[in-house]
Amino acid sequence: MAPRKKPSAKAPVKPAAAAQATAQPQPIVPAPKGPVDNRALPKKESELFRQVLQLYETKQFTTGLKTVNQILENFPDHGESLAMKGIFLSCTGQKPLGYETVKRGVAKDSGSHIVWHVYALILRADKNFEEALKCYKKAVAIEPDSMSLMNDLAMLSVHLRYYAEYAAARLSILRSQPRVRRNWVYLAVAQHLAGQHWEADRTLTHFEKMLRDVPDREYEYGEILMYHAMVLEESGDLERTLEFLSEQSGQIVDRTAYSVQRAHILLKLGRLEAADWAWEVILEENPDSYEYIKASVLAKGADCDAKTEEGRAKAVEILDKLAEKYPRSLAIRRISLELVSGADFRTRAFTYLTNALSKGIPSVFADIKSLYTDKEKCQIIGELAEAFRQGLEEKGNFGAAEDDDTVESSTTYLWTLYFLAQHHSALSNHSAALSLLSLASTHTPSLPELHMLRARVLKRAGDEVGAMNAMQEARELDGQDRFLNSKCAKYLVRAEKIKEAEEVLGLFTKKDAPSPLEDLIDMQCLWILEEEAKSFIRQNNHALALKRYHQIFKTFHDIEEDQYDFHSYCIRKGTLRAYIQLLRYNDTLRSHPSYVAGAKGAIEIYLRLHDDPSSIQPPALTNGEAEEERKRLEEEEKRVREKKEREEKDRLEAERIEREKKLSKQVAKDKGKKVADKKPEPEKEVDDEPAFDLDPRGLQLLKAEEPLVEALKFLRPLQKEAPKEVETWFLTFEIAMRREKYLQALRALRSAYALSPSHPSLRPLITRFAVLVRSSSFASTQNEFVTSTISTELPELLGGLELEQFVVDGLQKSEGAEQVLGAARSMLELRGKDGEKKEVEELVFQLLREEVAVKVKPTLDGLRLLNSFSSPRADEYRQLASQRFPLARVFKTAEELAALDAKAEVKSEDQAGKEVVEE
Amino acid sequence: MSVLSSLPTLPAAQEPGKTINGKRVRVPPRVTLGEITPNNVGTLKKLNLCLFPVSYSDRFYRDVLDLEITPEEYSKLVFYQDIAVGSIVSRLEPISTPAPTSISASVVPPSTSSAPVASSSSSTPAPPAPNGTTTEAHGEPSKLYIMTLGVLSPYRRQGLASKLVQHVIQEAEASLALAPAPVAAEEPASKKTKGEEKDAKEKKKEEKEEVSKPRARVESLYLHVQVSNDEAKRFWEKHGFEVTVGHRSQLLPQDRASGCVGAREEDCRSLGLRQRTDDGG
Repeated sequence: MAPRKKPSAKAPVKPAAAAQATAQPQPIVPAPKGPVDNRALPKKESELFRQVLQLYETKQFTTGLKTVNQILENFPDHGESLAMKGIFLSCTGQKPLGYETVKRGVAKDSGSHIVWHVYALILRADKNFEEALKCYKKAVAIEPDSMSLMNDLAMLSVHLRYYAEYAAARLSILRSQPRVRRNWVYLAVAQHLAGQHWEADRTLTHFEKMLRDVPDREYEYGEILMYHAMVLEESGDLERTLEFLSEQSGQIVDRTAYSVQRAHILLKLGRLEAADWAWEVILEENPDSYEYIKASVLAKGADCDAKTEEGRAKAVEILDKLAEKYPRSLAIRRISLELVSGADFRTRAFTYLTNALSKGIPSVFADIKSLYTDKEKCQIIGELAEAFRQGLEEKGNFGAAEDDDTVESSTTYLWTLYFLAQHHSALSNHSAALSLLSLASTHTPSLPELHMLRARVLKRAGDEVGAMNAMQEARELDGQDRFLNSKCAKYLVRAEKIKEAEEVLGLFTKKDAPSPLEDLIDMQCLWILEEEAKSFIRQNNHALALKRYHQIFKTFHDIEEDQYDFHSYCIRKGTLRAYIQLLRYNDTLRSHPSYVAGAKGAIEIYLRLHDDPSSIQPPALTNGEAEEERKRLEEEEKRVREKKEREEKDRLEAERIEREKKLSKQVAKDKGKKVADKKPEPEKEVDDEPAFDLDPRGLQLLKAEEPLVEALKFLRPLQKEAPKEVETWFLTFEIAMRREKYLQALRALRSAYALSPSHPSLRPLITRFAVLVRSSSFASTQNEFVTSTISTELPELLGGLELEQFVVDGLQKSEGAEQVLGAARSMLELRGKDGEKKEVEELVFQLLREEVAVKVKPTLDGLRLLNSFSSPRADEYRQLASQRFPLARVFKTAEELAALDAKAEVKSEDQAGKEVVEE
Repeated sequence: MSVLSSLPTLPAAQEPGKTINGKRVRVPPRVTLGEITPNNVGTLKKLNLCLFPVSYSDRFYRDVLDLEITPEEYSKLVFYQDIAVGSIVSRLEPISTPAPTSISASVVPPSTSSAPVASSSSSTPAPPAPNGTTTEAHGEPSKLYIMTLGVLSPYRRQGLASKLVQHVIQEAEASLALAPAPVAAEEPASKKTKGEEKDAKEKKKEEKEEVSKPRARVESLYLHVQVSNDEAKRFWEKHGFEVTVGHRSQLLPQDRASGCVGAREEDCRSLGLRQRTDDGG
C-alpha cells in the first residue's frame, strides 16, 4: 500500500472546500431564482457572515460559533447561519446537536447551495459518503458554476464507483477550466473507468497534442503515454495499440513495461516471428521470470501448458534450447520438470535437486512441492532423495558416478535430510519426518530451519505444545529474525498462550505503542487477529473472538477508506496505471483470505447466538479483570458526565454573553472582536481526546440484540467483493435460512453450485434445503411464487434425483476425507434430529479406515459431528483417532494430557540437570 | 568426546573448507567468522550444549556478551555456508592478576629468543605503530585465556578451528602493534592467503575504530587441554603454543579446562599451554 495517510477526522474541511465557501459571493444579493427569501442580510450581518466563513476556514470553531450566534440573535431563521452554527457545533464535539442544527438550516433555506455544502461536509467528515454525495448533487444543482463543489462531487462519485457521473462531472469541470492540464487527465481516467475507451483515447490524444516542448524522456509524460497504451489495449484495438507504442516509443521511459506490453500484444496478434524476437530481448534481461519464459515458448510455437504429449515434448525441446542459452536460469529447468515424466523426469530431477541441495537452498522443497500432485513424480523424488542420503552417508557425494572421488560440503547432507523430512511430512508420514529431523539435529543443531520444520511436523501431527516448544527453540537461535519471531508467536497462540505470544511480538513492535497488539493492529497485521480469534473460540471466549473479528473488519474498512486520498494524489503524481490497479484491487478487496476467514468466524458466532444464545456465555472474568472492567466502566461514566457538565457550562456561558450583549450590544461586539483578535491560533478541539476503546473485551459485541443483522454486516461486503468465493454463498445460505428468505437461500445454493458443484460442504446444505421444502408446513406458509420457483429450480441442484437417492448417491461418490464427512453430514440432515443415526456413525467411522488419507482436522470434525448428536460411539471414535494420530492432543482425555505434560516437564528437567559449570 | 579439531597434515594457513579428510570438496563452501551478539547467543548455547560434556551457567553467557571481559575480537562464531558450526570464546585477564596460583607458579617464563613453535618458520617485524598512538599507553598489559574452542563433528578436519585460532592470534598481535612497544616485537608470519588478507582488512578496520579507546595489550595467550588429548596438543603446538606444565586438575576446581576435558576425576591432568605473542614481555 502507498503511504498510510489516514483521512483525518479532526479536520473535516479540506482547505479547498473552505476556500470555496469564503470565495463565494456573499448572499447579499438575493438569489435570482425562488421566492423572496430571508437569505439576504443587512450590511452589518452580512459582514459578520463573511467573518464566520473565514473563521471556519481557519478552524477557529469556538470564535466562529460566537460570531454566528450574533447573526442568529437578530435573524434566528437565517438558514445559512444555522448551517454554519451546526458545523461549528459538530466540530467542537457536539455532533448530534450539530447535525440537528444543520438540518434546521437546510429546512429554513433549501435553496441555498451553502447549506447543502455544509451538510455534505459534515456527512463526509463522518465518512457517510453516499449521503454526502446526495447533498453535493443538490448544491451543484443550485450552483453549477462552482468548481470546487464540482470537484468534491467528482471525488465522491469515483470513490463510490459512479463512473458515468464521474465522467460527466469531470467533463463539465474541463469545460470551464480547459487550461488546467490536470483536468484533461482526470477526464481521460474518468472516461476509461466508465468504459468509454474511445472517448478516453480522444481526450488523451488531444491532451498529448496540447503539450508542447516536452523535454526528452520526461517520466511523467512517458507515464501518460503508457497509460494511453493501456486504454487502447483495453479497448480491444490491438493493432492501434501497437502502432501507438511504436510511434511514441522514444518518449516512453519505463522501457520494461513498454517492451513487455508490446511483446504481449504481438503474441496476441499471432505475429510469432516478431513476438519471438521481442521476447528474446526481454528474456535476456531476466531469464528467471516464469511469465517471460512461458511467453517465449508460446512465441516459438509451443505451449508450456500443453495438454497433449506431443505439445509437451515440443515445449521441452524449446525449453532445453533456452536452458542452453541461459545456463544459470533455474526457472527454465523447473518448468521442464512439469512437462516431462518417467526416466527423463528422473534425470532432470537429479540435476535440479543435486544443484539445489549442494548450494543449500532451503526452499527447494517448497519449490518442487507442486509436482507432488503427480504420484509418479512424488515417488521418484522420494527415491532420489533417499539415494542422495545413502550416497552422502557412504561416500560423501550424491553417488552418481563410481569413480567420483570428490565430496560434497558438509551442509549438503544436512539439507538432504531436511528435504527428505519435508518429503515425508508432505505425505503425512510424521514419525519418519521426525526421526530424520532428529538425525539432522545431531548433525547440526544450530540450523533454525530444522527446529521450524520440526514445529510444523508436530503441528500437522496435532501436537500444538510440542510444536510451540520447537518453534521457541528456533527463535532462540536467532533473536533478530522477524520471521522466526512471528512464527513463534503464532505457534504460541495456537497453544493458547496469548499473553506469552504478545510478549514475544513485543520484541519487534514499537516500544511506545500502548501494547504490542495495538501496534500490530495499527500496522494492519491480519494474521495475529485471525489466530487469536481462533484461539479464543477454542478457549470458549467468544466475546474476545468477536472483538478480533471486528478488528479484522475494521482493518479492511480502513484500507477501503484510505483509497479516498488517492483519487487526487495519483493524478497529481501521474501514476495512472498504478491508480487503475488500485481501484480494481479495491473492487475485490474483501476476497482477501483474511477477510473471508474473519467474516466466516464472526458469522458463525452470530449464528450460534441466534440459534441458541445460551450456548455462548460471556467469559468469566478473573478478579483482576473484573476489577479492571469495573474501573473502566466508571471512568467511562465519569467521562460522559464531565462532558455533559462541560457542555452545560459552555451553554450557560454562551447565554450569559448573549445577555450581556443584549444589555450593551456595542460593547459586547467590541469585546467579541477583541477576543477574536487575541486568539488567532486555532482553538483546541474537544474531539482531540484519544480514541477510547469502549469495549476492549468484546462483552458488548456479545450482547448484540439482533445477531443476524450483525452477521449481515460481515456478509454484504463478501457478496459484493468476493462473489467467486464459494464460502460466501454458504454463509449467505445459512443466514437466509434463518431469516426465512428461501429464495435467497436457493440463489446462494445455485451460486455455490456454479462455482464448485462437488464441494463437500454443498451436499449437506442442499439436503437441508430439500428436507425443509418437502415438509408439509412449508408450502402452506409460503406464497405461490416462492414454492413454484423452488420446485422448478431445486431438481437441478439434486442432479435430477429424488432426495433419498441424492443422499445415497453422495455416499457412493465420496472419496477422500472431506467428501466422506460431507456425505455423513448430508445423511444427518436427511435423518433429522430424532432420526436413526446408525448410518451417520458408520460414515464417520469410515474416515479412520486405513485407505482414507485423512489429516487431523477432518478427523476432529468427525468427532465433533458425532458429539453434535451425542453419539454413544463418540468415545470409541476418539480412541481410534488417538491410535491413528498418537501425537494429536485433541484426541486425548484430560488425564492423558496431564500425564503427557508432567512427563515433558520431567524430561526438560533432566536436560537442565546436566552438570552446570560456574565459570 | 574429542572436541578440538586438529589437522596435523593440513598446512596451518590453508583456506578452510577445501578438503574433507583429504578429499577435494566439489563446491567449496563459504566460511566466515561472525561476532557473538545478544541475538545469536542462543546459537552459541546450542553449540556448546552439543560440543561439551558440561553445560555452562548463565553467567558464562553473560560474560561472553560483556565486551570488557570477552572483547569481541577474541570471541567468534564460525559460519559454514552461513550456518554457525563452531566457536571460540576467550577471556581477557589483566596480566597482574594471578592466574590460578598453581599455574602461575609452574609456568615457565617465556624464553626471549625462541619463536613460537610450528607457526613461525620465518619472522617479520610487526607493522609500525600508527602515529600518535606511540606516545599514549594503550591499555594495560593483559593475557588472553581461551576458554572454549569447538567445531561440530561433521565440520571437523576442514580447517575451521585453525581459522578461529589464527584469527584470535592475529588480533592479539594487532593489539601489540598498537601499543608503545619499546622494541619491535617479533611476530609469527602470516602467510598471505586470500582469507587472511581479508582478516587483515578487518583487523585494520577494527584498529581504526579502536584508536579512540585503549585496547588491552595481549602479551600472552594460554589455555588448558586434557593431558591425554594428544590430538588437541598437536593442534595447539601447530599454532605456536608450547606445553608449559602438566598439573593436577584439582588446581582448577572450577573446571576451566572444560573445553577439552571430559571428566573431572582426581587423576585427570591438564596441560597449561601458552603462546608468546611478544618477546619483549
